[in-house]
Amino acid sequence: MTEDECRDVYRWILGSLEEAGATDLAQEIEVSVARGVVRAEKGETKSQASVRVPMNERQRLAEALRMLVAAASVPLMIKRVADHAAGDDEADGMFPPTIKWMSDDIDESRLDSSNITTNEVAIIQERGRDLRLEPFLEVVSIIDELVGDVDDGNR
Amino acid sequence: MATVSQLKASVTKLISAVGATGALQLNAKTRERAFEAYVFSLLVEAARRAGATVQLIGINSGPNPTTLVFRGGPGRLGSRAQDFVYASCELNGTRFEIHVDVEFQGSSSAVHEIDVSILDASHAATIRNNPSLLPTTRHLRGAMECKFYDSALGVALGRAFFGLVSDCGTLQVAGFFTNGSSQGLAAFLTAKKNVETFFSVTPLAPLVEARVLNVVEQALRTWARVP
Repeated sequence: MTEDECRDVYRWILGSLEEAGATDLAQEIEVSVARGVVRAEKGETKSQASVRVPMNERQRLAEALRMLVAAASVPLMIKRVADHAAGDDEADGMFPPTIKWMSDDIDESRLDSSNITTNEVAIIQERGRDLRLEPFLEVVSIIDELVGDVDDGNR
Repeated sequence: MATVSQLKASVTKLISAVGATGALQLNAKTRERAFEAYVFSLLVEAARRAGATVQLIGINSGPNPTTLVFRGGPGRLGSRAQDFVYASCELNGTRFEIHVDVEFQGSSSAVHEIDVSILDASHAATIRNNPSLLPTTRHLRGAMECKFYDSALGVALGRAFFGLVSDCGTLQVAGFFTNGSSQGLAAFLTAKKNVETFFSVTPLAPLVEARVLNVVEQALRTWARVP
């Protein structure tokens, strides 16, 4: 894939996310890409690297894809929570339970201090239950092709 | 190498598959919390595999709550403001609990927010009876730092976690968990003998999940002297 193609696809992904209502995620990707990557200078080890340099088009595209996959995998994580929490009780039909996040200092009428409500989690949990891994793995495979096994090198 | 059209088709398929769940609209903080709960669930599973009996407890409702309430931010172990969930475990006579997002008092008296913690059950019970107190790291057996994917995973995060671990006395297991990767951070943390580092922890990577389960299971078995 050429640099121009990578740039076009990167813009297309951001547009697709905005169309899907994932405006925050699209913005987070742009912020992350704008930060660039950390590169080790001569004489520095990887853990000492401190100089940030701009990403090239391939790195920008790979970063967008990584962040998309990470965000998209949250339903799979919530499914794991439900499954592992259930343990042997799953057979009894007691679990999997609903999951929610709440803070110490709020009451039931203000469920979303962590910006997630019981209903939202219940939807994610329910609809995520049947998610197949294939669409994820396809994109992961493309990321691997883009960046190679060495991953991000100097990050 | 995938063509542009193949890449677009794959991305479209993924967005379409996940779009209905609403997951792509979650903000970064919520994703972070979901990752912490996921790591909690891995520890619960590791405890079971070690042979522990595990029961999830709602601090107000008791065993097997139908809704698992996780903290939306760091808080007090003894708080009953919500029906916060924790795992109560017993392994070869050793009783311990697994909590999410609890504050501890370190040996230096500094307060530490530990994303997922393992502590002695007797101490946790004492704190629940005295909810204004913070649990102390003297009774802490496991400390897990969880970081959702971030391209800026830097060595500073590793230094902060290593500093926290150093203020926690003797831990059976200390782990840095992320679904991202960073060679610089990996280089820093792998040099620290008392910190386990887990990159690319995600349900999409069953081999990494298996490694997490194995490492934590073995640490628990060693601690509880499981024959």
